[in-house]
Amino acid sequence: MTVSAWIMLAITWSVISFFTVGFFVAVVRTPPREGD
Amino acid sequence: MPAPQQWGTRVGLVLAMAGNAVGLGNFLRFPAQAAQNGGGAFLIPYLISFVLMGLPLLWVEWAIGRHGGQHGHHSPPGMLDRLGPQRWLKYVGVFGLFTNLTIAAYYCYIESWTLAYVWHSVTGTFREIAPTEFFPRYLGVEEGSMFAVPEQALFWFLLTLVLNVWILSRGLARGIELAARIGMPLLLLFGAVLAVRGLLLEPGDLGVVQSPLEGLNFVWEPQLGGLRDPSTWLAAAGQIFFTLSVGMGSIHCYASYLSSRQDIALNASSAGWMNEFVEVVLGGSILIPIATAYLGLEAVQAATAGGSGFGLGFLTLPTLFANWGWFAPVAGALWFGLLFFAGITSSLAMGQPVVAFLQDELRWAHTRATLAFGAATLALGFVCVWLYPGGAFDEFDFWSGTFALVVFALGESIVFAWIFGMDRGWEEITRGADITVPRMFRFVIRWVTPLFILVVFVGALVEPLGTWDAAVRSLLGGDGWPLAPSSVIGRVLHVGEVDYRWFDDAGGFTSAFVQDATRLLLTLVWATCAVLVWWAWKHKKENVR
Repeated sequence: MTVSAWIMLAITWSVISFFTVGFFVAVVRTPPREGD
Repeated sequence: MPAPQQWGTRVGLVLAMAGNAVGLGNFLRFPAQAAQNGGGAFLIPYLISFVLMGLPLLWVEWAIGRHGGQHGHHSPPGMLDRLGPQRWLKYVGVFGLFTNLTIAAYYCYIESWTLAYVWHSVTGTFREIAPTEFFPRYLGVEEGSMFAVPEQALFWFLLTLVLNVWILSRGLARGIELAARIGMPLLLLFGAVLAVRGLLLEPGDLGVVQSPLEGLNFVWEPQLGGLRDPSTWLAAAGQIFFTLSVGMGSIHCYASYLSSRQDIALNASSAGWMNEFVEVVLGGSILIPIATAYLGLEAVQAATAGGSGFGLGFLTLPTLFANWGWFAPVAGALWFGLLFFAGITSSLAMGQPVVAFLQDELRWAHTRATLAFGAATLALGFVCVWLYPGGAFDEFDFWSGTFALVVFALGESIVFAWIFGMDRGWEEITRGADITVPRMFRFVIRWVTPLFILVVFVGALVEPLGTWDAAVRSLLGGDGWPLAPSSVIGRVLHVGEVDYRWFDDAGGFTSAFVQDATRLLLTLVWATCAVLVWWAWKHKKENVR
């Protein structure tokens, strides 16, 4: 694989993994509000 | 009167929403689209489209759904009707019934192939017969015939349909949510196992001709020149659109079972990004790297030239797995199993809005509504099975699974921002939110998202033959606009078909006849949905009096 392909892959995977894990952890950890 | 349905847990809701978005396209379409449209550079317009069109549209659909649910509507016609005083708004919502019903018909058929392929992988069918031979035989395709009645394919289709109807009949928490809570983790596990196994292949292993990393490079090498081509941007926006399952009415339906103060901003973001993870990280790491390892890059480039990895997924991969010895049947079961889970979590989401419409607006009992959905899907699906060789399946896919989605999304985004109004709309999106939605999205939802969808719509309408640059030059040069046969107008006018006629010399039907008949059928289905909506509202009015 070329360096530029590795860079694109690393940046994109990092951004997507960061938001996916971050939001899902927030969903799991946020206490249910009234009516939940 | 039965108690109103609700989600069992918040995680279950997010998994069901993510399952709705994650479909076969995540694994079969995305890698081919990326590779053919600039490789790594494709991800730039792709992610921009996600932020400016996908994410805002998710919030809009969740907001419309939760708002409609507060008024007892769990399907798009009633939800749209509640966004303003105009009586025609509910007919915009008809698209949300039509798309779910007609897409479910052919989608359940594809889903049934994956289930059948799990069986045939485990029982070793592909050791005896090549998938390239098996597939047309399975579908009953015969040279020169427009019709097919494949017994085996019908059996699996029926089984898949029964499974869908049974899960839907169990209700929201015990049916759809449970299926997502089982299906989504398994899908992630199966995908991860296949990706790791595939990427660890090395030249010198049995049958391996090239490193799978060459395939990964094919997907990720940024060809920045592609960014100047409008078709790259249209392809990226289109991929975001279809991967998120927006413009269907299923997201609205799932969100309508939330209470008025439950969060939608964080839930929608979580489900949307989860879909992106499955598509980009897993979807980009299985099909093309494994196929490249065994076939070589040139063959893979040729196989994905049309922007779809469908052939590689169903015709090629089962053969390649044979190189994995004792693991071959397991790998086949994992691959088609993950496609099945991706499929069923989506088809369930197509069924629920139809069931909810029959329950809410026509006052049908849940079981009766679920069975009616199954019967309608069977009848429409049979058209796709029977007329598959003539092209009915492709017509369903284009007009329901592509065109109608864009029309509905365009309509709902305009209605939400301009009729419901951004003040109320923004309040709806942010009420009960567990994250702060950046205020710039107020502007984005009002202006950028509808404009984005409009560009995608016009792009599909007049897609040119060749590049956009060349088409503009042709138009300015007085030679007219070279319409692609695959454009909306090109399809309607049968552009590029030299010998357009309904009957051949022997008096038999041609594929042009099948295509036109399928379009007529789809129009009738839309009209039937519209009449049902008209009838339901007429009776509501009479009951009020």
